[in-house]
Amino acid sequence: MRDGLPKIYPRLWRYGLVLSGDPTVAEDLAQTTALRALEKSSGYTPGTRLDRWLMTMLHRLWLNERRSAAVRRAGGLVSVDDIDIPDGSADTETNILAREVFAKVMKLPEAQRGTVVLVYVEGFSYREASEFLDVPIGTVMSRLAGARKTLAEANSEDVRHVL
Amino acid sequence: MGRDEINDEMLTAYLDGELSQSDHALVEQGLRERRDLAARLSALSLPMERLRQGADQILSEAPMLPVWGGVSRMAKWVFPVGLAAALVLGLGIGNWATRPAVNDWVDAVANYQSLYVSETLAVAETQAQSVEKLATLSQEIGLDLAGLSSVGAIDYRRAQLLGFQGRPLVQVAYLDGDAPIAICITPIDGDDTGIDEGVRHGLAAASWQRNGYGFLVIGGSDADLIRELAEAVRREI
Repeated sequence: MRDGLPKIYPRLWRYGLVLSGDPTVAEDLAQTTALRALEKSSGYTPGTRLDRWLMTMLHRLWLNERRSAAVRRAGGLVSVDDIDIPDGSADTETNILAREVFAKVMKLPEAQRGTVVLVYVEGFSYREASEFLDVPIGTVMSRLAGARKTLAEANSEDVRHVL
Repeated sequence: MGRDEINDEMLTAYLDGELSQSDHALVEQGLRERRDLAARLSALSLPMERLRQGADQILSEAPMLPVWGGVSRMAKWVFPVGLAAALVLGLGIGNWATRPAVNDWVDAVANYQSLYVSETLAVAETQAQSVEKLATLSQEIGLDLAGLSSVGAIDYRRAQLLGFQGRPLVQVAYLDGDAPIAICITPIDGDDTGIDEGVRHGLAAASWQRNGYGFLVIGGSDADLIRELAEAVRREI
């Protein structure tokens, strides 16, 4: 746990960023997850994937936080239109393009962007994502299909602009 | 499955290599026979490599796992955590044949509390959750704890049930600015006492006993605040 956590920590933060759209909230989520993981390290089964265990914990924290935030605002989730993605350093053209694709992912609805990152970035199979998110596989598929449609459309618009 | 059932979800699963063999063959056949399918497939295609690169770049901007106050704090934080949890949960520390001295539970809680940072309490319970939680804990411990949802000016975060040597121990956590503060209550043998103030594990603390319960208010370094809170709890419960 002590060895694995620092390595996984940036990915925890990234998943928190993808869910919340806010680097500060992401940091809170990642830190709280890290503390809880150390407090509850007996709940971790050695030999199973530590990263998945930690991400599950972070995901639950986020759901609780979002629920309470929604209650505090008397209902109505705030839509995440302008996601603040931290600025990078090495801005080669490839990096800029890569950053743009990821920025578009961040503009997807929360459920879609979370699923996209789990499957396309973190390498979850559909079944694993369905268990992790506690939704049917069909829901995973439709989120990914919806995300692909939106992203591909945005992509082809960019191409038209260039032409 | 008929050809019209080749929807975007199936095409997505095809691109992701998630289709069963028979569905995979069905899509392949559809792609050979129908031009519109190929167009729909390309309308779902993504620059996947670029997406992963973008996601990797984000990683380089992630903050470091915090050390929470330097090496000594880290050492304190990492190593005794199991021990502190074991003490608080009453697990794995052998059998104590004798009744714990009064201060043992205070010491265990203080040790545990010293591991708290404001981030530990970043996520607060909702009002509805706190009402429910305090009601449950009141039953567990046999004391009405509803008043603990609002004590002085500190900010209620959450409540939980711990245990100390087989007895329930309620911990209610608050924030005073950045300082985590806890009010803890456990059934205990012994006579009533007045408020005993002091510093435990580097934290301001006030403890007392009354009607078969031990009480502890602990956290931060503001002794006046802790005394005020202790007096408020004594009035309330």
